[in-house]
Amino acid sequence: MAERARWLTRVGWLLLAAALLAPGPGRGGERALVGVLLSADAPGYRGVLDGLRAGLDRDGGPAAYRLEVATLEQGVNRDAVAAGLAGARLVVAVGTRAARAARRLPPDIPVLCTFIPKAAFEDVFRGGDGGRRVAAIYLDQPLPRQFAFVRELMPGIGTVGVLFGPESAARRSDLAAAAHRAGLGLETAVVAPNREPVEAMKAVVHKADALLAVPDATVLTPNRAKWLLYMAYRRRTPVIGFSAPYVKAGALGALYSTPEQIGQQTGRRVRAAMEGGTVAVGASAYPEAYSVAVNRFAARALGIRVADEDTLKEAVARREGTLQ
Amino acid sequence: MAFSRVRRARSRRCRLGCALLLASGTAAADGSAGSAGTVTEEDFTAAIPTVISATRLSQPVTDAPASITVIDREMIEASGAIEIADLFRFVPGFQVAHANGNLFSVAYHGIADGWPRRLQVLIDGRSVYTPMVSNVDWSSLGITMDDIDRIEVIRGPNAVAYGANAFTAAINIITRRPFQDRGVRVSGTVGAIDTKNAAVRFGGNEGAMDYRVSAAYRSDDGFDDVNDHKRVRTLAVRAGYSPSPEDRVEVHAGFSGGEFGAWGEPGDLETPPRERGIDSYYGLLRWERTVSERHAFHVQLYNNHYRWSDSYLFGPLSSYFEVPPERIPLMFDGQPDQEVAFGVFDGTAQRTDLEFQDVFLPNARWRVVLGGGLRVDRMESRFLMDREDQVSDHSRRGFANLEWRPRAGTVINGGLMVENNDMVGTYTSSRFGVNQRVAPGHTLRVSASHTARTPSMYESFANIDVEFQDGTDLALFRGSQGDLDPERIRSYELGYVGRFPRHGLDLDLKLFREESRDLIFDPRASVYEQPFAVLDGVVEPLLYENAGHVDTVGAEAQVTYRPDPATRLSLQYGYAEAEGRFKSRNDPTEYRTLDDQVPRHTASALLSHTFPDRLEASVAWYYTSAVEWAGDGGWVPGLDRMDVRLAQGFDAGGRGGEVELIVHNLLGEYPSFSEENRFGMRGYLRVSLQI
Repeated sequence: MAERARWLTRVGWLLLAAALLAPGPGRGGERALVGVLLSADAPGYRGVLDGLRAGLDRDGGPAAYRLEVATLEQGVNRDAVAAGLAGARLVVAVGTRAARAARRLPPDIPVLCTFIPKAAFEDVFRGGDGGRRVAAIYLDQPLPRQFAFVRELMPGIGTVGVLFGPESAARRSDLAAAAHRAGLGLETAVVAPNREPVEAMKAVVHKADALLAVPDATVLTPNRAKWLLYMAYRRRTPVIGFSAPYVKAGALGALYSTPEQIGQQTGRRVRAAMEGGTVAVGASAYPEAYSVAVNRFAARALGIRVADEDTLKEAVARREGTLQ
Repeated sequence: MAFSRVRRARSRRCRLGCALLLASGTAAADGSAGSAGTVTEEDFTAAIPTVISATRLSQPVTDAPASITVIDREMIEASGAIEIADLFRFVPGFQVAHANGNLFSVAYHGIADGWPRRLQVLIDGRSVYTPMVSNVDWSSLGITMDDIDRIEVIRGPNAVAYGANAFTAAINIITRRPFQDRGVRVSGTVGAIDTKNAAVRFGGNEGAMDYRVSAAYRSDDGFDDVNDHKRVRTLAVRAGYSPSPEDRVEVHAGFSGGEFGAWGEPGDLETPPRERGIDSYYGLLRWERTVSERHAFHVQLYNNHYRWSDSYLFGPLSSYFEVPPERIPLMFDGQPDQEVAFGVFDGTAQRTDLEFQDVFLPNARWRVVLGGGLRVDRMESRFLMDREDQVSDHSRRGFANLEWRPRAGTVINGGLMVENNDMVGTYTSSRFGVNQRVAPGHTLRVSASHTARTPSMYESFANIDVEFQDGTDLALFRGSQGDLDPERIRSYELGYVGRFPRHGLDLDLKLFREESRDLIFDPRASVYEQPFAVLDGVVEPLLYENAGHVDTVGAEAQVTYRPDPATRLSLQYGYAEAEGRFKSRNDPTEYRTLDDQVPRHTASALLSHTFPDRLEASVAWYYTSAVEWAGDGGWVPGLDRMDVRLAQGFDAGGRGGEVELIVHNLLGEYPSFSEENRFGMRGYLRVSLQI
């Protein structure tokens, strides 16, 4: 009798051990690992992560993939981080620094960059990366949409002014073509490196009906953005920004995608990528969802009547369709 | 690329989380960028200091309860003006006269002598009114014309916003922000009346601080046959620092030093020809903080210091009274014949002012401005006040301005200023106005205000007497009754502002009625008993008292027309009919009408056009009908003047510059302020270079 009990106990332990150790549904092993690398521990990137989780979530059920989130801290060895993600089937790199770090991953791991401007993505992955499958969800808006927004925000406008720096100057011809298709004139000035942009700003401010702020790290730093807003306001020329902080500071309006919106789109893309034998990151794309913000004080100061944000969004979507 | 190598050396210190706080304060002069200068997501999320918000906005002209004229940089350049005071010819209702080559009289609706004292003038929020002689010294402002970005003139009493001295009008001269003037600019002007002016300006930035330094030297000989030359040196610094997007600290400081011909006739014992030295310096510190989109405040402290040096000996008494020297001891109690010291403009004055102002919008319909300030005015002048010690006056003020929008298109403004000083106690000013939009782009305005002006320290403490060398009083020349009351003005306005954007037209019209009471004048006090009976009736002092009373009605119009971006025409016209007089309470025979001291018509026009290849041409025309200037002035007939300016911009090896040819007064000589100032045709050549 004692013998049978001991045997039963041993089997019971074995069964328990098997149950504990064997991989089952809802745990580790079978679920694919998707690595998420954040450029820093900051609200923007965390917003993208929240959106990503929401985008991955199907039918409200448990997440189909195991997300391993790593954050690039200052001073942390990028190689160590990369090593930690080496087992992932797909890595999502949120932000530019994460994109650079992702290059250190084994080349067979596909990378989906997100929350990164097109120019930065192209800069990081210039010339490919050893045959790696890589794509991006851009942060900046496609040109037809930007100009559609300009037309809807200020219907009477004729000429748009843009200030370029050495880096954004490459996009000048694309911008001119897109402006032309949207029925707008373009007045531009290029600021040479190490030269003060104020004179160029003045020239463009005087000739344009509105200014479109184009991100360029050397020309429109936050301090200079302040000058541009001030100068344009004195001339009663509206500035159209590219982010919510711009509108808060005094730009008439801006069309931009929030971190959550980018994250959701990224999540949907990850889901699509993981559905199939091999992970297919797909092609790079602009944001699908976006928000519109208007600074009502600026509108009043400049004597411009602007429709409410929802009406604007609908109008932009309609017009964008015609400008593709 | 060398540029990106420099950038890579600067590490990116801003993470998104701290970008909100540090965005404009990062060590890198142009903000940190990606390691190769590429745009990254941080450029999309970085905070930008607020420029336009409900609190930072100046009230749009259509919402303001008063008429405002803005003289912008474009007008300043097109005018071809050499003196800052001449710019006010473009404001309807204003008169400008060169009292002499270095003394400019700027007044609104007349009643002015060489030192108009009923105008508040501010430079970047700092009052430049000199308590010592209660006026603004346009030659010693401590800024250069190039420093000016624009001038906002509020036509009408406006003490609720600009303080006690905004009795007839308020002028706010706003200098250019340092970022608008980068690099080095030099300019030189030569021309008529032996004018030789030179100026240099340098602007730059260090991280989140930007600054501008300007220096100028000006020299000319004024009117022919008048001792009125000037040689002035100016140095001005303006710096701003933004430690965070919500804060800005501004520091302004400057100095002006000069020698000025102070009239006088050779052989005139009382006023021999002499040179007056005027030095002044100032410092301003201001902190502005944007708490939120709906709340901002500023704290400001400034100090102005003036020193006038103009004392001299006149006499001897025997020559002055035209008696033999032996008679002097008989006339004056044994005093020997002697020279006596005199100096009306000799002494020091200082103003220190601390002010706090808060702007907040509790909701979309209300805007509230609240503030308060403390001020100390100090004056020391043996000759002006007949005392060796320093006299001071402390004042405190509190003000509130409310703006209410009960519905779209209607704005109701109410303002109150309560001030208290040692001289007169407490006095208040108030204003109420309603603006109603009657059609898109067209606004009607009705407003009423009551403003009180405290007497200046000079008006209260003046005691200009002449003493013998041993200190005994000889005679009183000018003094004050003491116990002066504040001057009061009631103003009623009906205004209209219209914009016709498709035609490029802006219109501003107003009808007004002003009633001024208790105006401080200095009628001759013939009944005054001098220390020495022999001088009674011979030397009649002028004594300040509340003796004046003026009612003025009129209309003003201002039109700006821009048919195309290269052409601009502005027209200004003012009509005023005044009925006024001053009557001394001591001496009823001292009665004078003031009607002629307000010119009936003032008009001006400025037409400018920019041709291709950077050629600019402009023509300015000014008209003021006959007017009597008080004090040392006189009656002058109507003046009709035309100025012309031609400017050619050029590029010389990557540097920009401009050559200007300016001619003042093409239409013929006219008397300015008095018959002895003959203003002929004056030509100038100015060259400026931006390096």
